[in-house]
Amino acid sequence: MTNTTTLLATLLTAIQQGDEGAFRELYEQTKSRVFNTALSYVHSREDAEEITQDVYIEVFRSASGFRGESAGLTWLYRLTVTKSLDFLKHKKRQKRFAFLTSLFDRDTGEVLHHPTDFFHPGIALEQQETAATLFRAIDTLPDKQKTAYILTRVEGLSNTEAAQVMAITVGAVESLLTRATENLKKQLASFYKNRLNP
Amino acid sequence: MEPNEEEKWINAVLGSANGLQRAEPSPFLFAKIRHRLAPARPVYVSTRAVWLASVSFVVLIVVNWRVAMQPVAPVRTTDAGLTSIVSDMQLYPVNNQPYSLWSAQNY
Repeated sequence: MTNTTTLLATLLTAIQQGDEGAFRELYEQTKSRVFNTALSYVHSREDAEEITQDVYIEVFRSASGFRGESAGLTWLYRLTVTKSLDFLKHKKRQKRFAFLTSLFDRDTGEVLHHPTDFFHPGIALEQQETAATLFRAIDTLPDKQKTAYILTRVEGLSNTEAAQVMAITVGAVESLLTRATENLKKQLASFYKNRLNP
Repeated sequence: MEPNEEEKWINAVLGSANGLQRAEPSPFLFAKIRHRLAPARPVYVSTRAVWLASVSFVVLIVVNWRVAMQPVAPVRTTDAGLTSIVSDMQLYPVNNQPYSLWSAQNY
């Protein structure tokens, strides 16, 4: 990560001076990290691409405000997490006003709109179904636990890196991860029971 | 036996994100970002065109104003005039009664 950090610092300095080539290079170097993190939150390629666009536009516009107190990658992850959580909040607010559509069939009372399972494109085919269940359980976590879990378990950052992104201590990340895992186990246990008695 | 199966399943689900490959965004995404970053191109209009448009607008208003303010004299129709039209166009009442030509019952 050190090489990447140095490269990103150089690229961000060039972007501050209006270098478009450096912006392209920064995009190529980091696009999969940004897109993948957003995808873990929103579970839709289109929405994740929209967030990715917003992140890079913010990077380009506020590159001059980047002082280098944090590593470039940390800054990018922080922007992605913030934008993804904002996107989810906005979506939730929109859903609150969608009360005119009935979720249930008028005659049979059956649920009409089942939320579709999210199949992550980067997961092996044989793992897709279990991973979809995992992402459904991650969705139920509170925002901080969800972020800590996604950054460390899905994105593969170390606890220290996740702590820098979340601007908290490493101890706090560990505590969030412990609680997240406990909550996930409880949620998965209830999914398991539903599987046996649908 | 049952709790063991459940635990196994939970652990399998928790471990399903291991070895995840990062997904790539669409190859056209950077073009979309550049398009959003490109400033809107300003539209330049020559000073002559602006003056021409302004003058046309003023002329239009003045002409309309003059037309609106022109006193409209009511067209006076006389019986003699109507009678000549009736005779020219042979618009006689069907029953040709000797009473007033313009009484309502002739229509």
